[in-house]
Parts: sequence; structure tokens; C-alpha cells
Amino acid sequence: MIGDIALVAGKEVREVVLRAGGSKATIFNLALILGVFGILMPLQAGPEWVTRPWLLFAWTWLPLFLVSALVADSFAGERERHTLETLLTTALSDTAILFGKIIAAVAYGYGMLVAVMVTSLLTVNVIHAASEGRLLLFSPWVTASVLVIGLLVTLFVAALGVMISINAKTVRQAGQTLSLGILAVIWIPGVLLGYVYRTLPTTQQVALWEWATTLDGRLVALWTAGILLVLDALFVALAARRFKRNRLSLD
Amino acid sequence: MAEIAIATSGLTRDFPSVRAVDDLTLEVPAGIVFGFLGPNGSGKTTTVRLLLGLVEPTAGSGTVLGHDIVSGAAEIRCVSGALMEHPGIYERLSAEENLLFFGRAAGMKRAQIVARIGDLLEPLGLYERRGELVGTWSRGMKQRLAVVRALMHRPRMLFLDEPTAGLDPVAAADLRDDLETLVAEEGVTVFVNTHHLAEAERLCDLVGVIRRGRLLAFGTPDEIRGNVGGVRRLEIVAENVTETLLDELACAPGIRGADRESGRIRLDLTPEASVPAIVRLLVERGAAVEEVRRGSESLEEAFLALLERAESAGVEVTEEVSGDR
Repeated sequence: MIGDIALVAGKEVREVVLRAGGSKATIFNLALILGVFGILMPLQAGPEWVTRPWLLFAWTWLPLFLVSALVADSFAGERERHTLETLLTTALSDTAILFGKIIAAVAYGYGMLVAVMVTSLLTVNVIHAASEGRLLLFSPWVTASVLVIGLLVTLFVAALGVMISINAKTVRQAGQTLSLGILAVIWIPGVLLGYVYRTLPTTQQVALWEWATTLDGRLVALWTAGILLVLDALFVALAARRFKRNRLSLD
Repeated sequence: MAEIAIATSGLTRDFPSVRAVDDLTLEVPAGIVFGFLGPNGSGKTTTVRLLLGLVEPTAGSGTVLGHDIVSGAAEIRCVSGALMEHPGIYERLSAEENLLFFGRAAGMKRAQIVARIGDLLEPLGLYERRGELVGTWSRGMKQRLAVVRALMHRPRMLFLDEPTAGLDPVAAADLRDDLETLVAEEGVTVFVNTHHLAEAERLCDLVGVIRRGRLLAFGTPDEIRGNVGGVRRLEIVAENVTETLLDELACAPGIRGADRESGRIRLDLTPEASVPAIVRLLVERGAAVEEVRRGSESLEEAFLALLERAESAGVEVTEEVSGDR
């Protein structure tokens, strides 16, 4: 089973990530992501790049954007390119096909996140380590938070996107639905919280703000990871339930 | 008794707006090429999907190589190869990468796959081009690669859905040659959907004719030709057949028309025609009959006659389907 999952994941990465727009386009895209998030942003932030956790937290969500296109293509793309039916006639199990596609997306998104993280450290150290007189590194808990939350965010988008792509007629339709899904799951609760905050009396707003600023960052990271873990489990289970080859639209 | 590769009983599949397969009962012996003939939209593709477990039947049952099409679908896919309506080849991968992927998916070892790639691509003249991206290939080359892909793991059963559709005549003829060779070498049972009658006539040992999901006829191509309306054409070699006698024959009961071609008398018959009565008439009128032979009506003519006959009765079928919606 693990071999079959790896087989599908490998095919997916080779076909959808590495060869989608030709090798030059692939190299350009990967270089652009590393350039912006691994070089440009750390250059702008300077030595504070490793001491301001919110910056790290911001690009923990980087995989969300990277993985979206890949997962929208997972089943809808095969349907559009008329390869889905042939894939389903193979001896590969439903589990191997589904998890192969999810893992391919996670491997790509998470791999890029780690690559960006390492590149950004190299960038700030090349520029600022000498003047600071020390190696500039993230604290262990920030490193752990980014690695864990980044992985969970990647898995969340991958599972949600694959689930949507299973029955989408086209990649475009899958992409649009996924965008709305992400909006619903992430941004709408944020907007609602903001709305509730604004309706509170000023004294309570101040008290809430003070409480928020004194929150332990590790606790926030733990809570975030916990919520994401629940969402991941939910969407992976939903995707597994939804993907039954004898109930798919093949045309 | 011959081993049965495919058996279905009352197999039915409804979609929201149409009954795609309607009470299909057939038995296909192992080791033969079975042709499933029918016009577009007649239910051929749905039948293959049912047999491969890609859609579930609404009613009825079936087995492929002894495996139930619902509970044993995974086992069926392990022992089957399929070329569906589209080649199903990954165009961003090379031919070799495609075959490695599908070979591994079928549980083959890398070394086995590499050896098999050579065995199968070499005779088709594609081996030297195995490293090229499939997207750069012609439709005919992709289709031949798809046949190779379906045969990679030495399946016992091969499903082909309109294998020559969309190909130009030369590419289609090449593919038919390749198919004939590969199928003979591999010794698989083949279930081929087609509306290309010449293809069926050339490749198939047994054919079934389907229309609007219903099986109209089943048998060897010869049987289909012979059974559609009984004897439909008669060729007679005889001496002393005058023009008057030919005119008399043309008006005789059971004869639609009579003419002379290359020294033979050719008679187009109605289903009720009696061959002994025709021969008797000729002899009574002084003709010396040397040879009487059933005419070689093509499968295409038989197929069209079947569809024509079903069309007149088909209104009832259509109404029955409509009533089920």
C-alpha cells in the first residue's frame, strides 16, 4: 500500500509540478517563490527576521497558496485530460490513489516551506551575521511551531482541495470552489471575530486586547495546531468517504 | 465446455435521464475476441465500465473471469487491461515513464517492466522514441502506446473501447494490424467495443449487437449475417437461364430482385424465401443448376438490417425506458 501511495505521489509531482508548464517555467516559478519569501522578505526584515515570530507565522500559510493549484488539478485535471478513467481501471486501490494525490501536494507545499525557511536563514546570516557577531537562528519553539503548523496547514489545503476536485468537472471549477472553501473555513471566522470585537464596549475591547497581548505564544501555537489537526482529520476522512471510484463522474 | 470469461445476467444500469444498459445477458467464452457492436450511445462504454467495476449495476449481475463485478471488481482490475474511449496516457510524461507507472501500478517489478517495454514497443517501432514526452506524439502513436500500456502486465482479459476511433484510415489499419498481432501473441480474451464493422469482421470470433442498451443479436459474424432475416442473398451458377426466366424469378414469391453478374445469378431474398422452391422453379424451367450458394452479405449489411428492424420495434423500447424515469 505504501509503495502504491508513493507511486501515485511520484507520478503526480512529476506530472503536475515539474512538467506542468515545461521545465523552464517550473524552474522560474520555484526560483520566484524562493526569491520573494527566502531572500526579499528576510532582506527587508533584517536581523529581526529571526526574532519577530509573527513574520514566520505569516508565511506558515505559504503552502496554502502553493498547494491550491496542485490539488485543484488532482482529479479534475485528470478528468479534463481524459486520464482519470484509465487510472481507475488499474489495480491501484482507492486509498492509494487518494492518499497518493494528497501526499504529493503535501510533499510539494511542505518541501517549499522548508526550502524557504532554510533560504531565509541563509539570507539573513550572509547579510547580518558578521555585524551581529552571532549566528541568527529561529528559537527552537518557533522552528517547531512553523514546521508543525506549516505541515498541518499544507495537509488541510491538500485534503480540502482533493475532496473538492474529486467531483469537479474542471480544474477551474475546483480552484474556485477551493478558494471559497478556504475563505469559509479561515477568513469568515476571522471576520466574525472582528465584528464581535467591534460591537464590544471600549473597556471590554481594551481588556480583551491586553489579554491577547499577554498570551503565551507557545499556547497560541499549540491551540492553532490543535484546531488544524481536527480540521485535517475531518477533511481527510471526508475525502476518503467521498472518493469511491464506482461513484465518480467519468465524463 | 469452454471456460466462460464474461457472464452477465439481466445487467441493467440506469442514469437519471436514460437506461444505458437494459437487461443484458450474455456469455463470452475465454480466449476469443468478442466484438460489441452498436451505434454511438448504445450502451457499449457503460457495459465495459460495469464489467470493470467503474459503475455499479442498477440491477442484474455479472462476472469477469469468475470475479463478481461488484464484490470482486478489484480482482477484475488486477487481471484486466483496458483501453477506454481515450488513450489515457499522461502527455507530460515520456512513453517509458507512462509504462513504468502503469506497470508498477499492476504490481510489476522494474526489471520486468523494462524487459516488457522492449518486447512490446520494439515490434511497433516505438522503442527508440520511448524517452519522448507523449504529448508530442501523434494520435495514432498514442493509441498504440495505450494498447501496449493495457497489455503491460500480461492481463488475462483485455477491454478495448473503440480502439480505432478518431484515427485516420492508415493509422486505424496499422493499429488493427498491431492489435491482431499482439492479441494473438498474448493469448488474452478481448472484449472490444466498436461501431467499425470491418474491424469487427476482421478481429472478432463472436459479436453482440447492442442498441439502446439492449442486446439485439449474439453469435459469430457468420451467424449474425445468416440469421438476420434468414437467407438474404443467393448466388446461383446455372446454364440456360434466359432473360425471360430471370424476369420470372424476379417476380417469384420471396424474391426481391434478380440480376446476372459475372455469369452468376444473384437473387435478393425476403426472409420468407424458400431456397428449394427457387431451385425447383429453375429446374422446371429448363435451367441446368450447377451451384447454389448463400451470398456473402457483409456484417455491416446485417448490422444495419438489425438496427432497422429494431428501429421499427424500438418505439416500444423507448417508451418502456421513458416509463422508468
